[in-house]
Amino acid sequence: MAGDSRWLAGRGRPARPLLILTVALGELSGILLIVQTALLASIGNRAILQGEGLRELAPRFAELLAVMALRVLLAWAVKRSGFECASVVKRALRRDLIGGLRRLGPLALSRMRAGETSQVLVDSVEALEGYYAGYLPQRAIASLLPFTILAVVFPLDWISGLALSLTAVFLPLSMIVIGEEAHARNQALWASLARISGRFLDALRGLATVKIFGAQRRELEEIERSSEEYRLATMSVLRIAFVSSFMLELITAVSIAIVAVLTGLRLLSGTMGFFPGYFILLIAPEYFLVLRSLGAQYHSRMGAMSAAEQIRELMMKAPPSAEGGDGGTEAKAGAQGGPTAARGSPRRERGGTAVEFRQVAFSYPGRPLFDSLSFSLAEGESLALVGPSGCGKSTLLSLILGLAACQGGSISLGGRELGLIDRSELYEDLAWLPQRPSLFHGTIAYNIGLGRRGASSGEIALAARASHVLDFAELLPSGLDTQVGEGGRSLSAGQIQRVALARLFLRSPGLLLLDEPTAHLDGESEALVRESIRALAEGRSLILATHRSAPGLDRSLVLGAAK
Amino acid sequence: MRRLLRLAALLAPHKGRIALGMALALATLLSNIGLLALSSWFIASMAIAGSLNLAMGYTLPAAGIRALAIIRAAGRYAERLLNHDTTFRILASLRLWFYRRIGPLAPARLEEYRSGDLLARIRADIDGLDDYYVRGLVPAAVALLSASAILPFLARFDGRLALIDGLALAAAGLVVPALLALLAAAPGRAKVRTSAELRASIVEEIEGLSELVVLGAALPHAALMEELDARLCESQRRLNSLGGLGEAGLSAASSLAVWGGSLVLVSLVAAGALPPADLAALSVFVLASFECILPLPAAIQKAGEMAEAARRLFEILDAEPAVSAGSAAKASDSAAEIRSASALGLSIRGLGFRYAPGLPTIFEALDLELPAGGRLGLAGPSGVGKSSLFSLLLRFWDYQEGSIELVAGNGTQGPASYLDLRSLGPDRARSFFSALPQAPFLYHASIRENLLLAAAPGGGPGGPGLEERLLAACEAAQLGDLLAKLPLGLDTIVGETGRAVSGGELQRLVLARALLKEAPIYLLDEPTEGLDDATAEALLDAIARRLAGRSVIIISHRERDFRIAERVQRLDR
Repeated sequence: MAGDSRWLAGRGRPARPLLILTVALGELSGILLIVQTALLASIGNRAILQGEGLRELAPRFAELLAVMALRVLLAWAVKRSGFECASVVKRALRRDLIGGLRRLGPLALSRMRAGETSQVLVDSVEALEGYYAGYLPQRAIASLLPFTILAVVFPLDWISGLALSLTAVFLPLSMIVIGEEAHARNQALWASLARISGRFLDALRGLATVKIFGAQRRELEEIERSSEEYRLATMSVLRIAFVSSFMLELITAVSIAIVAVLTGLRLLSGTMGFFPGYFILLIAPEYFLVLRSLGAQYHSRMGAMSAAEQIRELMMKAPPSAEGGDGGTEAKAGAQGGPTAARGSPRRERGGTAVEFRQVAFSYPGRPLFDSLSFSLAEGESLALVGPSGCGKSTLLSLILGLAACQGGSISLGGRELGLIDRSELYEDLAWLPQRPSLFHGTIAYNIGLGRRGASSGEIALAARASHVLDFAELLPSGLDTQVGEGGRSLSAGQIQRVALARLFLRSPGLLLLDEPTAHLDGESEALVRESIRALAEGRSLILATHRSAPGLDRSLVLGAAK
Repeated sequence: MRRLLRLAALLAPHKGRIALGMALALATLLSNIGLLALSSWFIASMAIAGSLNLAMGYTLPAAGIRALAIIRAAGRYAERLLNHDTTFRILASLRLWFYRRIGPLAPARLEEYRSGDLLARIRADIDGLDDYYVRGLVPAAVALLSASAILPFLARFDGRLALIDGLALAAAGLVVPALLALLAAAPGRAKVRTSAELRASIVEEIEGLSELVVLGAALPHAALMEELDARLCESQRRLNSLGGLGEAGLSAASSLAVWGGSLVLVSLVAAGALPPADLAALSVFVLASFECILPLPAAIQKAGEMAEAARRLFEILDAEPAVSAGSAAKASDSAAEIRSASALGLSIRGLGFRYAPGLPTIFEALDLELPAGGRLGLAGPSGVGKSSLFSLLLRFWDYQEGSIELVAGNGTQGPASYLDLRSLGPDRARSFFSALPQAPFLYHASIRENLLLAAAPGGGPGGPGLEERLLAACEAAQLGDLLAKLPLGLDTIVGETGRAVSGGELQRLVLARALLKEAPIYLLDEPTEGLDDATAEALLDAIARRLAGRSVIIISHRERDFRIAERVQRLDR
C-alpha cells in the first residue's frame, strides 16, 4: 500500500506545475471565502446592532457581489486545471503501458488475457483521475486553508481558535486509523464485485446450455446466493468505512455547538464583540468542510490505490522501456514493427526460400517439444508438418517467424542464420496464416490491405477475388466496405480464413507458413481455400501444418512420432 | 423516465426500508440546517441582550443546539448504512428479475444480435442501474421533501425571501444541471464509444500483434491506439468543462440567494418588520438550504445514463419469445408412455421453417424418421440448416409448418404412441433431449461444476456414485488421460480464461457433459471437431458403447463421424 502510494506520487511528477496551479487557485478561492464571510458578518453586525439600513450598507453589498463573482470563476478554473493535471498523468501512463506490451513481444503477449489487460489500460488508468484531479490538490488545500482560517480566527478570539484547532486534530488521526482498515477490505470488495459481475455475464452466456440441461432453477439460486454473499461482504466493509465519516460529522457538529455556546455566553456578559463571534460561527462550517472534503476524496484515493496495484502488476509483467531490462529478440520485432511497407516491386520472380533446421531444441516449461530437430527444405519445395494437436506444429512456425527463440541448435533461411537476418527483411520474405487469424476493427478491404501498406483498392479487389473473399463479400450490402471485427458483422471461421489468406496475396514472400488452414472449415470452404493456397504457393517454398494428411505436397514431416 | 418508473416496480418489496431510509436522510439534512440557523439566532440574541444588559434564558437554546448536533451525525451514519444495504438488496432483485425475464427469450432473441458484445453490454447496463436507488431516487425525494419544508418556513417571514431562495434552489438543483446534461449528451456518447474502441484496439493488439508484426502493420496500429487515447481525452475535457460550469452555476446561485436574501433581510430589519436576531438566523438558513440540492446535479446526470441503460434492457426484454408456451400436454396414455420410455423415436413430416418472414427458407417440406434406439447421421454443406434442426427440436425456435412428433415404441410390441413436440412447454420438451450444441459453452469454474450442470434436478441423477458417473462420462469423452495428467483433476478451473486445457479438450468436456445427462434422445453437433483421426475413432466407439439403446442424431461434415450411424440422411438446399 505504501508502495502504491509512492508509485502514484512518482507518476504524478510530470504534472507538478499543473498541480501547484490547481492548489494555488483553490487556496485563493478559500481566501476569498474568508473575505466573503467577513463581509457577511460585518453586514449582519451593522444591521443588527447598529441599526444601519440599505443605504449605509450599499458599499458592503457591492464588495460582496464582486467577491462572489470571483469565486464563481475560480470554481470553474479549479475543476479545469485539476482535470488537466490528471490527464497529463493518464496519457503518459497509457503510452508507457502500451510500450511495455510492445516490448513483451507478440508471443508472450498472446498468452495474456486480452479482456482483462484492456480493462486495466482503459478503466484502471481512468480510475486514477479522481486521485490526481481531486485527492492530491484537495489534500494540499486541506493542509493550507485550515491554517489560513485559524490565522484569522486566533487574533479575533483565541478561545474559539483553540476549540477549532483541538477538534481538528482528531480528524486526520481517526481518518488514518479507519482508512487503513477500510482500504484492506475495499480491495476484497473490488475483487468480489468483479467476480459477481463476471458470474452474471457467465450466467447470460450459458443460458442456452442451462436450458438444455433444465438447470434454470439452479442458476437462479446461484445468482441469489452470490448476490447475498456480496451484500454481506460489502456491508461489513461499509460499517467500518462509514465510521470515519460519522466521526467527521460528529466532530464538526459538536465543535460548532461548542463555539456557538461559548460565544453566546461571552456575548451576554459583554466580554466579546458580535462581529468576531458571528464571523467565527459562519466560518466554522467552512473550516470543517475543507477537512471533510478530503474525506470525500478518500474514496477516490482508495479506488486509485486498487487501480495502481493492477497497473503495477501489469507493469511487472510488461515493463515499459524506462524500467525494464533487455527485451530480447522478440521485443525487437515488436518495437521495429516489422517491415516498413513493401519496398520495390509487389511481386518478385524467384524460386522461394530454402529452410534448414539443425538440431533445434525447444520446450515449454514442463512440456518438452523438440530436443534435436533437423530437416531441410529446398527452394520452392513444399512440406507438410503432420501430427496430433499439441505436438508443436504451431511452435515450429513461431520459431521460423522469430516469435520464439530456439533453445538449442540453429535455423537458417535462404542460407543465412535466422538471428542475423534483419527483422523487416525477414518479414518481407515470409507470409504466415495463423491457425486462428484475427480480424481487426475496420472494413474487409482494410483487413485485406493490412497485407501490404499502400496497396491500391484495385490490388485489394484482386486479392479478394483470388482468395474467394469476393464470393461472400459481393452478397453483403456494403461489399468489401462492410465493417468487421469488434462491434462489426461477425464472419464465419471459413470467411475469416479467406480474408487472412487475401492478405497474403498482396505480399511476395519466398516462404509461406500456413497453420491448419482448413481445420475448421466445412467441405465447400475447404475446397475454395485449398484452391487459393495452390495458386499462392506457385513458385514458392511452403510449410503447411496439419493434423490430417496433406495430399499434393512434396514431402511431409511427422512430429510427435518420435516421442 | 417512464422506463425508470417501470423499474420502480422492483422496489415494492423493499418499501419499508426505503421509507425509513428517506426519513432518516431528511431528518439529517433538516437538523443540519437547523443547527446552523439556531446557533446564529442564539448568538445574535445573546449579543443584543448583552448590549442592552438584559437577562436571557440560554439553557433551552443551548440544549437544542447540542441535540441537533448529535441527531445530525448519528442520523447520517444510520441513513448511509441503511440505504446502502437497501441498494444491495435491490441489486439482487434486479439481476434475478432480469435473468427470469430473459430466460424464455434465450437463445433465439439474443442470437439476432449474434455477438458476445450484446451480453457484455447487458452486464454493464445492469451494473449501471445498481445505484439507481441510492444516487437517484433518494437525493431526488429528499430534495423535494426538504424544499417543501424550507420554502413555506421562509415565506412565514417574507414572501420575497422564499421566492429568491426557491428560484436559486431550482436553478442550481434542476435547471442548470438539466441543461448541462443535455449539452453533455454528445461528448458523453463520444466518450463511451471511444473508450470501447480503445479497449477493442488493445484486445486486437494483444491477440493479433504477432500477425501485425509479420504483416508490417504494427506501427500504424500503435498510432491508432495513441489517436484513440487522444480522442478519449478530448471528449473527457469537454465533459469536464461542462462539469466546471455546473459547479460555477451552483456557486453563482447560492451566492445570489445569500446576497439577495441579505438585501431583503436588512431592509426588513431597518423597517422594523423583523426582529434583528432573526436576520442572523435567516441569512444562515438561506445559505445552508443549498445543502439539500447538492447531490442533485450528479443524480440528474446519472438519471440520463440510467434511463438509457433501462431503455436498452427493456428493448431486449420486450421482445416476443420465439416459441409458444405449449398447450400443457394432456395426461393421455401416449403421454405417459412417452414419459417413461428410455429411448424415443422422432417423426418429422413436412417441416417448414424460416427464422423470420423475409429471411431465406431453411426447411421446406422436410421429412425425417428416427426410430427409437436408432442412430441417424445428418450430412450436408454448411448453412443448410443442420444446426437449425437441433434448435427446433430443443424448442429454441418454433417451426411454421409441418409437425415434429416424439414416438414411443417401434410398432413391434403393440402400436407406437405419438406426441406432438409443440404441445409440450419448451422446458418439458427439452427434458427429452441431451445435446452437444454447435457453440458450446463452459463456465469459468471447475470441470466438476461444469459437469454438474447436467446432473441438476431435471438434468439427470445426482446423489451417491456421482463422482464415478462424472469420471465415466469423461472417460467416454476420451478425457481420461487429461484428467490423470491434471494435478487438480476434476477441480481444474476451465472456461474462457482457463488455459490449462486445450481447445479440443474443452470440446470433449462439453461432450462429456452432454453424455452425462440421461435422455431418450441425444443430439450431437460435430462431435469430433478438431480431433485427429485416432482420437476421433476412439471417441466414436465410446459414444456408440455408452449410448447403446438410446436414440442419437449426429450432425457432421466429416464422413468419419457417420461410421457409428445406422443411416445417413443428406440435407440439401
